[in-house]
Amino acid sequence: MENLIYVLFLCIVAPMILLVLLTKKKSKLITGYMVAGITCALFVSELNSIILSYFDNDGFFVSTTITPITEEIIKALPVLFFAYMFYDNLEILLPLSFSTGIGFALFENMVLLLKMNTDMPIELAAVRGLATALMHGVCTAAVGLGMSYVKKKKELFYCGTLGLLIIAILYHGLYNMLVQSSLSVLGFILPVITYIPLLLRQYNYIKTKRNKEVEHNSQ
Amino acid sequence: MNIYMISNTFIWICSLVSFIVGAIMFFKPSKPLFAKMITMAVGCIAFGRIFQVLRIAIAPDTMSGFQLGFLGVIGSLVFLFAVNYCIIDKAVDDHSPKNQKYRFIPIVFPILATAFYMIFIGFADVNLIVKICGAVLTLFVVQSIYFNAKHIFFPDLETGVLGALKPYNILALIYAYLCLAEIIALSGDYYILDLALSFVMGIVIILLIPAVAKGVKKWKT
Repeated sequence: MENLIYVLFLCIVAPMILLVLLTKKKSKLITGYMVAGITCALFVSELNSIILSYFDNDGFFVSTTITPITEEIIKALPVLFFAYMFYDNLEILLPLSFSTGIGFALFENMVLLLKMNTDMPIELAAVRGLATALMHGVCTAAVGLGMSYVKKKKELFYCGTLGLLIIAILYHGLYNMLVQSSLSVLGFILPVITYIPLLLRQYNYIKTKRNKEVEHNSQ
Repeated sequence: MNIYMISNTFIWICSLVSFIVGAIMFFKPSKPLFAKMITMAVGCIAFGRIFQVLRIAIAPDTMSGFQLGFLGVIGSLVFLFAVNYCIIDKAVDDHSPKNQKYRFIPIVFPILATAFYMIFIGFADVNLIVKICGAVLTLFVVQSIYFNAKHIFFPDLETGVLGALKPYNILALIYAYLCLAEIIALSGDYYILDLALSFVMGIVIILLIPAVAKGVKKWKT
């Protein structure tokens, strides 16, 4: 039973790696970074259990104060690696960091499901699946935004990434605290509220790009 | 509702209003990066304060020890430092020897902040977590106020940007000192003083965005 988390990890990651090998360029990167997110979640789940035992199993304190810090830092590492080694283009970094967050949330939810056995109602699973995925995705995407300066402006990269990482940590801590309280509905709504402007921005960006292309072709 | 919660709620409301105004005004592709970053600093304050307010409301028994809301203050100082060091300073300081005195005079402000920390927290009889948090905060306050003070005194005859941003720099300097004063007040359990400080801090945060807007008119890059 102790190895179940690793069994689960292998069952998810193995087919995804096969998918990575078959897909091309951008799809390969996004799927690959989803695998990276899942791997980060596996590492964090082990780390969190060590931290939890250090704080006398005070789940509420650890999940609202310590784990937002560790999780956000670990999730940011694969994105930092990509930005530093390959491209620091925001157009690539944002979807990449978002998929890392989604991968992380995917595995985190699975681990939670394992711990709760069969006691999780389907409504809660649906709401949690959506809200947690959005929360992790938005947080990592915010950090990815700061990392887009890694090669262009070094000083701005250090300060900007630290500032955005702090915002992501606070947002994560706020979400964890709300979902564990009587205001859990507010906690589940919070990621949706923050996702809408991101979606609108992406929609506007695609629309502007398409208009420019049409304009360019007509000339 | 305790006094600490009232002071945090007041700062949260002020910073939320300021953040919304800033986001509407500056979160556009045509607006300069420094204005966006100052708005993010205000957003950081709002996030940190709402965390503290909800923490007191939901789990008041976990209020001792390190609080994640403290990172909101640190984050705001990081953004304010980034604006002054990475953007404004690069544009106005040509590192010529004739302006050397303007680089030395502002050192007084960080020294003053460090002295405050040493007297009221460093050598005082307070618990270790407060001492560590105070030291971290002082570190970020020191680097932020040096550049704020530098840009208040530094001559800017060519672009006129520093003149337009002077109200912002004065407000950012006051904000950084208020952050330090707040932790000093809390370390000694002076909650009434904390309430008074939070009232001033709320007003400073509200005034920050209009002060930045004045600078944006002058400097659009």
